[in-house]
Amino acid sequence: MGTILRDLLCFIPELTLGGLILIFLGGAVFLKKETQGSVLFGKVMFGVLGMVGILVLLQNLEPLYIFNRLFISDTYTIFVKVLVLSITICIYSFSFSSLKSEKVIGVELYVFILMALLGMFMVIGSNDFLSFYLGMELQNIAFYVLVSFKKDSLKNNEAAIKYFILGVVASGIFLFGASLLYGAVGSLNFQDIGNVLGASTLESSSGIPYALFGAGVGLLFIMVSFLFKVSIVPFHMWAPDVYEGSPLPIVAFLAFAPKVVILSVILRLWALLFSETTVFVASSVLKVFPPMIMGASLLSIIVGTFGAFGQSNIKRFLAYTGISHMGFVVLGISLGNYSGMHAALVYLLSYIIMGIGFFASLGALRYPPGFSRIGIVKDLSDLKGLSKTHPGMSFSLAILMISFAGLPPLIGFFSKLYLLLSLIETGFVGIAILGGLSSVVAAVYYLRIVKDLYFEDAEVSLEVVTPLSFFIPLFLSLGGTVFFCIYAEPVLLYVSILMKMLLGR
Amino acid sequence: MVIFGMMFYLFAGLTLLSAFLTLIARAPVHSALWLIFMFLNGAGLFVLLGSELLAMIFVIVYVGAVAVLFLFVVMMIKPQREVLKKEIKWYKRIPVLIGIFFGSEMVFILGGWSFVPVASTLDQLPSRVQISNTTAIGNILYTHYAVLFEIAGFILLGAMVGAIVLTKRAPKERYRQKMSDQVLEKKKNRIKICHVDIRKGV
Repeated sequence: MGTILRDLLCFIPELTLGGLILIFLGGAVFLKKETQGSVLFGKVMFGVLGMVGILVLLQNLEPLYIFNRLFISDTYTIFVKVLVLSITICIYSFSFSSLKSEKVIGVELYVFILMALLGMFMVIGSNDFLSFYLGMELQNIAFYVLVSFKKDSLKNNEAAIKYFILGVVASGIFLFGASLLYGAVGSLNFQDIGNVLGASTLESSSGIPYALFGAGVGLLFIMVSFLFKVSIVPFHMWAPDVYEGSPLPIVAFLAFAPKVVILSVILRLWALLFSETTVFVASSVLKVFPPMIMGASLLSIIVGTFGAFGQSNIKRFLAYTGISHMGFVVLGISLGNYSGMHAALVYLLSYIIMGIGFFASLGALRYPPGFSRIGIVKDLSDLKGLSKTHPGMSFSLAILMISFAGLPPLIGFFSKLYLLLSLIETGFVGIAILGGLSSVVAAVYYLRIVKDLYFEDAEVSLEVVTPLSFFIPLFLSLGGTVFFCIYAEPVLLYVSILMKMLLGR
Repeated sequence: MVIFGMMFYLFAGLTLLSAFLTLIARAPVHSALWLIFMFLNGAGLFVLLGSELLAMIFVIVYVGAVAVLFLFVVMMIKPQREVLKKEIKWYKRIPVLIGIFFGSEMVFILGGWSFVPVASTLDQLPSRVQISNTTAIGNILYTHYAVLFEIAGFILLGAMVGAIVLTKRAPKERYRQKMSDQVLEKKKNRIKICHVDIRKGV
């Protein structure tokens, strides 16, 4: 009884989210008008998300296995949960007005945002492939609905169908891999898998360890489905189409939250199975994994960089740049040592900080009434000459673009520096040079946007819609981008504590 | 015990055969029917393994609900086969490649399957003599995996609400007369007065 009580106490944020989903669904029945309900719920959401955040922060920092080791709760899970929650709050606070302008509003929207959040919390806390799968499926179903929310638009329907079918295929691949892994190892628990794989190489000195081969192929399938979710190159095809068809706030949600979640699980698994501290990797089938993942991430850096060149649509552009940035993060993880994983997490943080600001600024830019297109700005060329009408907005966009390009005093420079340094430290000088070169190429189109903002004539004078809540994410993001060089020390220290904990040092 | 072996090969062979026929059947309805037959054979395999509850669940869920739903969907959709055929031709080679890849992989993996000694300690299955199938599953599902059972409930709730949200049409899309709008409508919003030059048009 004592342990159940303790487990439930550790699970309070998830329980609260689940309860709120039910309350929202039930409450929607009693509201007279749909618009009235959506406005009311929209305001309640801020309080709800804040409350969940406080509950997460109140959790015990000690590592605890809960519900028969199905879930885990430690500093790392709490950090990632707070990160995902703050992403959600930031995106939500600027998206509330733009969702209205895209005519995507309804009580169900909030229910599905909460449901996605619940699923993501489960995935972050999972310590078992079964709990991981169920959490991921909850999150996926919520995202399938969120992506297809604009049901009158043909583009949106196409995006939704593509995302749904490819997502289901990825889930199927994951299940196939998990069943092979279960057959070979006898358990789906992360620690058990690590123990069994560690024991298998010690005994199989004669002959090929076939059981490990089964586990290896299983892990390969699982990795493939992970890479699909993070949109790493051989599995990136869905991202541009899905981004293009979906409403901008939902694209922002889709571009950050699920990727952070899956990457956090990849980091945990990688530290457990493939890091330099695990001895069995060098002598088994599993040794093909790090180079393979490294190759995929390098490819995705290159494909993302060159794919973004020809894009005129902003969302497609964002999808390709996202592919190349995710490539950098996974490149850091695939090194498997402390400095690489440290740099990967810092890179991920910097990508989130810059990206949130960029999405928030884009969400505020609207076509003027009477123009041939309506809603949020869609093409990169429409940003031309923005500095003449809206100097503040174009200044913040320019800062973010320069940071994305990786120029010195801003956060984008430092995160790339750490990553390339850790590559060189580990001995992959060639890959570091390739990564550096492709970020030089990427700088071309980031700086082209700055040129468009300041040195071109406007083709359309955009409107800027700035409700009060829009400034929270923008100022957080700009502050993080500009002042990172001053307060970098505590952030790096905290990330290094997390990584040391994961690697068991 | 020869009979068990024979039954196994019968069920397994029929499962493979009907899976293949599901793929190559020309009419979609035939595909769905072969799929149902495949599920029934799968249930037979479960019975041979001694897990009668799973076999029955397999029949009820997959044959009773999923496959029959497939049949309904297939019958309601009018396939445009002539258009589809031309586009599909090129893609036909890719599944063959994937099939060869997966098949050779299964041969590799299953060819020398062996267990690590530690793995047998992780086995959670009780012995089948002491306890019945239903009890065993109930024991573990509602204690060890109770949380996951609840999450599965949430997934189903999400899928249901999602399906309703996406198929619901807003009332404004129906054509309905609105008296107040008609009365309040201004002339300038509806009528555009143009001066038309002769032989030029508007």
